[in-house]
Amino acid sequence: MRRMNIAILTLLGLTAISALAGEAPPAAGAPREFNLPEKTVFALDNGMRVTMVPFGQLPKVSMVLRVRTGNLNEGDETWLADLAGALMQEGTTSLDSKAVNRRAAELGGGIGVSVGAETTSISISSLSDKETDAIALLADVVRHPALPESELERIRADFLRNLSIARVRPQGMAAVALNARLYGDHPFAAVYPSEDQLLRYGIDDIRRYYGSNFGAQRSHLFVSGRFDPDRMRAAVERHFADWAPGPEVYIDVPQPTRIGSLQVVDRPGAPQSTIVAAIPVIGVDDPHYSRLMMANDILGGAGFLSRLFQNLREDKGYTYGASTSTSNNFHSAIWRFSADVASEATGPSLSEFFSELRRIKEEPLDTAEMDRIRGYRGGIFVLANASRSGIIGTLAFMDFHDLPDTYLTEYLSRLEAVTGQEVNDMASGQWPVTGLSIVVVGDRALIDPQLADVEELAPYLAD
Amino acid sequence: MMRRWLIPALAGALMVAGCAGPVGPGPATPDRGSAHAEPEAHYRVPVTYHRLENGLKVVISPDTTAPVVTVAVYYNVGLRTEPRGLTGFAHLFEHMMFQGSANLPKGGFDQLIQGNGGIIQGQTKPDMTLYYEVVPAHMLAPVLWAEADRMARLAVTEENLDNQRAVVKNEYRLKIENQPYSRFLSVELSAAAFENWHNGHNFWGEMEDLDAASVASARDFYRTYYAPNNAVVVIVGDVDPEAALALVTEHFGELEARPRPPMPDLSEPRQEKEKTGTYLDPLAPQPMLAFAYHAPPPNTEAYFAMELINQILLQGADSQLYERIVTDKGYSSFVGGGLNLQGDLFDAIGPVLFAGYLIHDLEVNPAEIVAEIDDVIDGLRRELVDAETLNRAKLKFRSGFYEAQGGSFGIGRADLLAAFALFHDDPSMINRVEPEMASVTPELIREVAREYLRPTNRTMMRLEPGAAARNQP
Repeated sequence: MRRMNIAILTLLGLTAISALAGEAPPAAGAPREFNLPEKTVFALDNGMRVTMVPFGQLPKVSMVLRVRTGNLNEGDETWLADLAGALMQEGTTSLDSKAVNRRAAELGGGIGVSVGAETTSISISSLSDKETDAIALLADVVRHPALPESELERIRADFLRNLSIARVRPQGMAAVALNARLYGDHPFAAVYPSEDQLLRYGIDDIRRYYGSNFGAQRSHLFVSGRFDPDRMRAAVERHFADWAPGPEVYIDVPQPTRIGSLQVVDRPGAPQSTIVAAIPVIGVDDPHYSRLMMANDILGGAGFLSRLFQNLREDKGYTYGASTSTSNNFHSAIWRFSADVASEATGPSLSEFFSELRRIKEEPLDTAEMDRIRGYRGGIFVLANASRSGIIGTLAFMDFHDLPDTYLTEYLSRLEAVTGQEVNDMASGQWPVTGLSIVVVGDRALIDPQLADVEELAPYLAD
Repeated sequence: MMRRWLIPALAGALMVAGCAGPVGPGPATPDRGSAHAEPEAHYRVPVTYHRLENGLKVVISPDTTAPVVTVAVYYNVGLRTEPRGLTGFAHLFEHMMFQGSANLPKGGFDQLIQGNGGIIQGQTKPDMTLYYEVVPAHMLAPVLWAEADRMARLAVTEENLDNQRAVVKNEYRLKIENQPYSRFLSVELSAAAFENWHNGHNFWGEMEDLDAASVASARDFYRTYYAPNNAVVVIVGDVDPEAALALVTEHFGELEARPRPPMPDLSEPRQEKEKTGTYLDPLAPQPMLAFAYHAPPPNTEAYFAMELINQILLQGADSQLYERIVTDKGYSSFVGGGLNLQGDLFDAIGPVLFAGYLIHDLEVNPAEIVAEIDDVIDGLRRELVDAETLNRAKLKFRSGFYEAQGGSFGIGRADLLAAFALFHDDPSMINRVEPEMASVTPELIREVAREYLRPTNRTMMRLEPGAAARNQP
């Protein structure tokens, strides 16, 4: 058993406000201590790991089984993992789908299978007096899915229908163009399958995918909420101890491109342009990741506080929201800027984006601005780790990326230590304009002339 | 709070916790003891309720398990109240509340709250406009000071109004105009179902109406509705109730009450004939079918029964319409919908709809789907619901109600307390919802189904997919 008990003392006093008139705000009280809830971690003999965090006052328990398989494991059979995930919700070898759904409802929640790029999560949230029954149902769904051929055509028809809708959403169109460019031959390149692909997958393909990718070694169960730890542990052992170890974790780290490009996707009549610009960056396992976080928050990751939001929305009114973020896959991270802007503001929005990029690389940082980001992250850190789902999210993220406990315990002190010069250097090193893969989805008749006026895009518009 | 709907109420100057890295939003109630909960225990929320001399309602609900506090200020004015010729104004005005006040010029509010570890949200709903902050508990005094400053001394300028007018138009383009199915669900369905203009007009606002909004109209709206006697302040979290009340009194106590004009008449006539309609969506590749029934008045015995009917018919993969439409017939991958079209169960006081929707294939005749829906609904109107189904519906409700109370850092609890105080002058209703729901009988379910699920009380709308041809291979 491993326990972690950390006091977060870095909740600051009042940080400076640049815009103040008239009277000043009253003094804040004394910052209070926040203790991360204690966790218990253990492994079963078959290699499955379990993390339990007794937490909260509401009589509910959340359980999430994370399995290291997803779109990464499909190869070129795009969405085979998604199809398998959907069929896993169509009953077990002993309960048909209606029986599973009614059973889950009687425990106080639905059961869900969510397929991601690298993990598949099977989750259930139950009332506290029914949590051991919920574990039994979760185990049945994961270990004994019927994967019934009789339901395949219906699920396939649902997928085809939903695919046609996903393909007309501008954000989906942008993702298709971006991932194809970033990832080349890697499975992450394909956001959606073709209709032909979807039509080709048979029940044998789905059963093969399930059989070769699910098992105890790839799985980690997270439990959070109000429950009796001893009873929970006994239930977990009863329902999972004899699960076969199954395959080892499969690793295939992509090498996304850092050669810049511009793709313009025509969407005639669109009232807005969907803009995405992305580039591979250092990941969360890098010792200097805090510097990237600070640079990202100043530029676009901290909502109202961020420069791009203030510039593009609060000053210019070009958009409802503009933001930047880093998404971490295993040993591979992508940073991106995204905004949906009024069509007539497409060129000007991109120019402002490039201008803000230049500023954060070249201009000295304002200490008060950095302090506000630290204040923001201090508060968000508490909020993010003060809920059932938040705790599970944090612990699962750390587990997936093999991060030590110091990732959490030193999270705020590392942000505290970042200097303005380090922010400039990080922005310069990680965000070269010539390395950005840029996608604009919009009405070409309106936006092409505007793009021609943006200096940084000139290399891509030569012909 | 609007988990049931594809299109939630108009979310304004929205800022939820940033999620880069390991963080993710969720409720806030750590507990060191981890005592096992008693089975079937009725979870009780501590509530204290006061009214200041100027009429401001104050609700305080302590929760000492995390060093966090939610401050929610809700105003008794919403989307339905806005006048003809100024559609979209209630929402636009909500944005102006983030544009500066006497002591906090534009940007200052964001820096004060977010720069000290908080999150900010504003939202306009049919019968209320709400603002809240979730902050580290020691920030309570500065937050109350900032909320009082904008309740008393908002600074609306031409420049800021023009800026937010552009932002709101971009919000509409992002969420509605440039997305398939959105306008149909968030504008067209209520427009067809409601007879009263106040209930069914386009809450997002017509572009020419947004253009017509002026600084003078903003000042007038502000003076009329943003008075202490038309608002409630809710505090949930790690606070001492007496000290918190003293702080509210210190910052809000001096504000002057102002008379508020009577509410517009929101009443709807009893519908006697089924309505049908179609809407051409140029972006949609597949047809959608939607239905809406006028629901019983909020917070009546019949309304609670209607929520259980909603649980039985629409909520979850065990629901009757899901089983019939999705599992048995394969018409769709989902049946969405719920009770109260533009909000959640308790945040409306005016007329609400019980509605559902699904996306189906072009080849399927919608009449076939309607026949299946009718068959399921007729069952509820004809027979008494069996004990197992009703118990499961009650259990689903209870579990979801707990989730709502714990949801989003204490905002869920604050939201319920604010609505009960604002509309019913009684926030302790939060502790009577469970017993009310538990007492609903099969007879009441059938009675409510017979009156409210009448075909003549229904609007059935079809969305025709304007992008169908282009997107078929």
